[in-house]
Amino acid sequence: MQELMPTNNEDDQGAFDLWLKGDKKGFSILYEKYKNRVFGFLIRMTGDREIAEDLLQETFFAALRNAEQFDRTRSFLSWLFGIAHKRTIDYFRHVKVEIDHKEDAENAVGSRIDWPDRELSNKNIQAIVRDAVAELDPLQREVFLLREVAGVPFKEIAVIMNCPINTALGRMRLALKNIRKELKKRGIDDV
Amino acid sequence: MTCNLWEEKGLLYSSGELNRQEEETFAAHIRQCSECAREWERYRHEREHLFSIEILGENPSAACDAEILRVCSKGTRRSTTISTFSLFLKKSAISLTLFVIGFTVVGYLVFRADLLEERKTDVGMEKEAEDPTRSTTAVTEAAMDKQHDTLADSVHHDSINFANRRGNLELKGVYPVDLQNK
Repeated sequence: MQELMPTNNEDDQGAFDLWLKGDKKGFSILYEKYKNRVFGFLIRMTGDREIAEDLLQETFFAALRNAEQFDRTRSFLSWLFGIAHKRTIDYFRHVKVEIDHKEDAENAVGSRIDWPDRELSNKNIQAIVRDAVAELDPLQREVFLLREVAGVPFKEIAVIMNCPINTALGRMRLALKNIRKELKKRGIDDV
Repeated sequence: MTCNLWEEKGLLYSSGELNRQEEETFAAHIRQCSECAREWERYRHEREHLFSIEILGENPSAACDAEILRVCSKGTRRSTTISTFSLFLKKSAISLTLFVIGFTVVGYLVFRADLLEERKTDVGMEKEAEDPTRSTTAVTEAAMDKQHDTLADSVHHDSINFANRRGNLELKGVYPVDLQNK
């Protein structure tokens, strides 16, 4: 009821079936519907546009390869983000960029300290929120993004991240707490 | 916060994952508990203004879009159908080849067996032709057998004719001379 980003699973499955039959329209519908969420998730996780684009391609190519394995009891969105999650994990396993990414994020903090005095435009709010998300611990960040960007329910997040639902909820609470702390530091408090 | 219910149920309530009864109970609680109501309102506000897809989502480049659409728009079943069909063709071709090979081998063996038998017969006849003693004996024996059969047949036929003739005469009240004399 309170779901702010509803996704119609029946429509998705209909489009998915079209795609399976070789109808271009089926894939176009799904891609246009979810590309910004999947890409948003990937870019917030990796912090790099090019890498996120590579991972986005890999995600959809993997979906194409494994289309026959799609479990129809789950939503298409959860399945797709499950693939995106695996691609991200593989990326972090093979390329040790986490430290560099952290360092980049820390360097970026200095450049935005002077913002609170200015009037906050939408663009600034966007940048501040994105930076606050980038500051999160990777596990907290992933739960937060799966919930807020992808709109995946916590039960599915637990399946995707292979953890108990209470762990997913705990990470989400911590993520919210940390983001609020960061936002307050940068002049955004109780929008 | 003195009330812990938001911590326990708030996130699941916001994602619509509570069961109907729990949801109604929590909604009623929010109406009564100012702390939980404030938390709920805050989170709802954050989701709408700060954690929205416009803030956190992002679109890939046109080139990336084009590449993904090019590769993925072909669909999956077409390739699966093709691979299934080619698999079927391969299996059929293998079965047909094995059948043809089996048929040829069996046919060849049967033909060879016939040929061997024919050759054996020919060789036997040739040997007989080459051995004059054996040949003469065989011809003589055959001739004797034939003669014996002919003789036996004629005796048999004569006795039947004689019996018939006599039987018929006896029925008519005429007795052969040889019997009357005796």
